[in-house]
Amino acid sequence: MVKTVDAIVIGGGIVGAMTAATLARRGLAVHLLERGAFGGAVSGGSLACINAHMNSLDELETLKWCGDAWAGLDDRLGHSFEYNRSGKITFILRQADVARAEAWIAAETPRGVAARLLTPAEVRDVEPGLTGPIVAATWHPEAATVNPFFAVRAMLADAADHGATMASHTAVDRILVQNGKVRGVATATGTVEAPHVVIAAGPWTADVAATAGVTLPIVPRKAQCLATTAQPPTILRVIGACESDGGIEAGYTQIQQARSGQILFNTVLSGGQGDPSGRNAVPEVDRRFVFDSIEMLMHLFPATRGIELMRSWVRYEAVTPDDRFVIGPAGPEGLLIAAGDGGTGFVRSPAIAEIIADRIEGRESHFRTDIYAPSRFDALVEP
Amino acid sequence: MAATVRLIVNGKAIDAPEGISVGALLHARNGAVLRQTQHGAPRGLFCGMGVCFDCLVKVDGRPNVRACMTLARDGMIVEIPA
Repeated sequence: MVKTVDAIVIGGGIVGAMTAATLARRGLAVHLLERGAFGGAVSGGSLACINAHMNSLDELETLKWCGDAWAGLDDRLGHSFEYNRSGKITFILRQADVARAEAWIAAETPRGVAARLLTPAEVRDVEPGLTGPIVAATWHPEAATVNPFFAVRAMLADAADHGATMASHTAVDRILVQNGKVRGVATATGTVEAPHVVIAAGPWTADVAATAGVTLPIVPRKAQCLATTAQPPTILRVIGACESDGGIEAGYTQIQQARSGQILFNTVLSGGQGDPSGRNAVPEVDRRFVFDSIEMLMHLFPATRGIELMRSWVRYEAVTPDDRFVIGPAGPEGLLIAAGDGGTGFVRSPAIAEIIADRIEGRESHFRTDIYAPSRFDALVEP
Repeated sequence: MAATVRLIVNGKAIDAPEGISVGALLHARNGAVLRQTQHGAPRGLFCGMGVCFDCLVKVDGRPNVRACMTLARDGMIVEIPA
């Protein structure tokens, strides 16, 4: 018997899980398909920061809404995913980067983002262990983190509570299209029919879309992480690097201590474009990344000297040419894209889910959607 | 006779042959279960070669040290987490 639903979501990371939960809460019959384990790719490998500061001015109102939405989810779903509004410190190592930080703050403050510049002495008031030499830092008290595994599972449980069905280890072979309209998807275990199909498959999105004749410029990018053994409270806040030019001190570096006590370190090296096949056969981290990361951690937090590294891992983010998500319709009627995280899927996922649900229900979205339109790359992908 | 070292394990003096790892020593004395996780699950020497991080103990005040990768030393203070 062929299963028929209102909407199929492809991809069981945070974007797919949040989208499925949102659609199910709105009363639609949803089926979620995940090729591997739920949250097992970029979502599970991420450090899941909920942050509006120094992120994207075009999306500032959306990011602020998302920050509130995550706090609301934490309340509604019984504090089940280690939501922690720790605040974020963005360290600055070069005098030249102070002006960049000031420009961000000047643009954000009138729009209601509470970020400010701190001297190194003021930094120690909010993060006593950060005693290494820095020039300055920004402080954004509203930033938060979530446990990525628990957050994905909380959203899947919420989706299931509202009637959604789901299957892991079930890859979509192709999207079924008839007369210019989406009809469903074919998997190894059978066909699922639906008039709406959402591809939220991170770095696999372009491959899945191609089965419906849609070309998307979404490519995988390698990001790397380290975890130490559990430590007593050492790092209280999310620690990020200021937007800068390349290297370990560039804008992607993020350090935090998980509730388990493990200190986590994440970065994207400049030129970290992944081998396109890397997302399927995930390699080890680069030796240089390990050395640079340890050096940076000990530079900022001298007390971390001598603690043991436990694990390292690589994840593949999905990146678009303008580093912004692709959210909206593409190709045959009924096909929707929600991918292109650039390593920032967690914070945006509540708004992405709303935009997709509004589109499926034929409602005007109260979010700014033009900047996410898949059609903005039409000129790029024309043969 | 091989030289021995004396270390303190959970407050008790224990003599051990020089060159033995803390992991092997505790395995020989206490059996397979070295410690329990915070959720009460048993853990011990699993890989025995530094990869799995299951045999974590406190050594000279440092938490979460791999027993399998630590050689027993004279005067070493080992605490097995409760």
